[in-house]
Amino acid sequence: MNSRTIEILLVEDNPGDARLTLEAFKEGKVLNNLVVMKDGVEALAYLRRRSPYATARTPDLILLDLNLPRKSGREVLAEIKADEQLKVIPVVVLTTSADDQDVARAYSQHANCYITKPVDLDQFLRVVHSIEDFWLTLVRLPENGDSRVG
Amino acid sequence: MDDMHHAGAAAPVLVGNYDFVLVALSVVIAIMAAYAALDLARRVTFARGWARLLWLTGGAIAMGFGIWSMHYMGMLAYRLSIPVQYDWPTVMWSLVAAIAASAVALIVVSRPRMGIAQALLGSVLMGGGIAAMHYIGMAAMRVPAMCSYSPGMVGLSVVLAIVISLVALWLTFHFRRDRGSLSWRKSASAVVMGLAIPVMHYTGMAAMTLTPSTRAHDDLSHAINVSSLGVAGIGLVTFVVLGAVFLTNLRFDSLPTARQLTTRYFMSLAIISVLAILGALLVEYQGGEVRSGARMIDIAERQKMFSQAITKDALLVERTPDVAERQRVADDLRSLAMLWEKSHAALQLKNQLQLALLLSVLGVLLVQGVVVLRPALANIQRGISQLELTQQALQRNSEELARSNAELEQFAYVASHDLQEPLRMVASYTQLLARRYRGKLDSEADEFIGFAVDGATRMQTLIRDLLSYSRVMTQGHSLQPADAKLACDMARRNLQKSIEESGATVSVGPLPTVHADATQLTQLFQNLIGNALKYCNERAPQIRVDATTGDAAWLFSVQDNGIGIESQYFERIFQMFQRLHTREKYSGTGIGLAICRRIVERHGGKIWVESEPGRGSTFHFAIPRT
Repeated sequence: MNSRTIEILLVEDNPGDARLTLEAFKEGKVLNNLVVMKDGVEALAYLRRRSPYATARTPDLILLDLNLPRKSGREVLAEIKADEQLKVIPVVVLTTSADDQDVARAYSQHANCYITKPVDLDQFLRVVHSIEDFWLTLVRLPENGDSRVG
Repeated sequence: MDDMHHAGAAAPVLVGNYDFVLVALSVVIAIMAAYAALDLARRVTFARGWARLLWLTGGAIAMGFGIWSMHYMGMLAYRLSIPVQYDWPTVMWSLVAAIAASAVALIVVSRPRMGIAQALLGSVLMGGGIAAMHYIGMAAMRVPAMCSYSPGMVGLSVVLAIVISLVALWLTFHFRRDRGSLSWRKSASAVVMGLAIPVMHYTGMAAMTLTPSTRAHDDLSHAINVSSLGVAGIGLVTFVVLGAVFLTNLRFDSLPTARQLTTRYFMSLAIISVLAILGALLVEYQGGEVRSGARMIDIAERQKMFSQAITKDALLVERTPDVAERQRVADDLRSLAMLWEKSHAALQLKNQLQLALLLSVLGVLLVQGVVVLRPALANIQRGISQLELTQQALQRNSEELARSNAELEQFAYVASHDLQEPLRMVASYTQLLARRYRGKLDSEADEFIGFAVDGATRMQTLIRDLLSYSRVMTQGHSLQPADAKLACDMARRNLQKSIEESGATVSVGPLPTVHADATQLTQLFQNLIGNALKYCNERAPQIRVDATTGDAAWLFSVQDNGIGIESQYFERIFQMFQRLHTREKYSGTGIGLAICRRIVERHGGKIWVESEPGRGSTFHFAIPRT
């Protein structure tokens, strides 16, 4: 599994945050390809390979922000988990919200884990590395269609 | 009274007629007395102890006086062709009977409950009292005539008195809770009662028959004429007494102008009373003249008869009177004519003055009604509307305050929350710069990046603190029984690292369960213990957490052996962003104690400090017991 490039979809509207996550994954050990989608509609189009993402590859891991334009992260999460094809992909909710209700709702919609973005850079980097360690190294993920093809 | 004299069937019966001004006055007094009774019933009902006794006594006197006065006005309204005098000790006894009847009435209606038995017994006593007053009052009459009473009418009047008392007791008992000085229910029942009382009275008057007799042998040693002065006096005193009841009611409603009104009322009444009494004295003086005039008429009448007799005699004997005799007769006739004129003028004056006096009594009523009560009511109205305006303004202000407070909370929360996002960018990227490029650019660049990172980090701390300060109010949980011991232990666990690093000893005494937000209680202990750890001397911090029970609150204390605080800063340290030391010496934003105070205040408590510089501080806070 480590031999191939891990596909990560980051759904995040703030370019600063997206870049920071990208930088954090750059420092990581796992070879990865991080794709950023800026809103919920785009993210779902990408996942369903709709135009202009017909050639998109199904991600191994989704990092999902909750507050997004057009379609919120909560709706995106609900649609992913209602979709037979997509629901197997682990979704990590990565958001600034520390609200108890947001946490409860995310898990009730079958989010795989919920992480509040730390304010401090060092802690943020630690969190991203933990995600990497856990989801991309430690756990065994289902083989997705693309990797079988690729 | 005396059947033997009554038996004389041939004796002519004296028929009186009523002075309708006085009758009307008596009805007005009855209505006022009834109104006063309704007011007094409420006061006696709601007063306790001495106040109750005072209201009962004063009330019985005022009300009894009112009923008695009505009765006398009714008696005086009955005009007979023969002179009527009154035996004043008997009159006083009738007043006592009226006061006793009023006392019975007030006791019955002020009791918590009024059953049928109490109502019946009360009305028999009250009605009996009023009837007793009436017939004692009638017995006080001293007339050169024989009084006799029709048993049927007497019985009817007593029954009426009892029935009216029953109705009055019932009305009073049921309306005694009416607070309004001018409620229509109270006014209506006062009018009903006030009209019913004279019905009884005039029935009683009708029961009496007077037969002129020269053999009437009543004791006249204490008999007095009830002059115009008496009528005026009784009228005035009644209005003053009953008006006072009404006015104490105004004062009782504690309107700002009530005291002023009372003063004004009594002053104007005093002036009117003095004027009326002066007028009455004048009438009395003139009355003396008139009486002597009447005597002169008497003499003149006799002289006329005499001179006629002489003339007749002279004619009969056909004697020619001598000059001196003729002169004497002529003089007599002249002085007779003068006497006639004088006494007629005096009689006319007497009638005019009596009319004037009655008008002045009515004037008192009018003045009371127009000059005093109307502006009084207007003032009350104004007072009430002012009160309402003030209340509305107060309500608006407090609503405004609550709204602006809530807005401020919201603003602080939103501002600090939304500020975090861009600041996170600034902080993160300056930190990233520092990580990636430290030592790769020149030393100045490193320094600049260092300042940027430091500033951004501090600002993050400030915003975080501000956010937690505003969260005390916006995100607080409801107050529930919370174990202070658990909260304190949690705080110690959170501070474990600092406690170990500083080598501090934290001892905790037995702590109670309090009515609090457990999370905030933990934060409170954490901030206070954290401060104790931070502001320490060279020696290892010794921290003691304790609680004692006060009268209404639990008193907690967090004691340390640190640097202490000078007394001039005892208040300032609890204000937001107030620091006593430089950041280099002691880190922090100066919000910890402000949060502590906010938490304690949210719990309805108080926080304060006792300290001696160099020896340590003790922070106390009180959490109310429920």
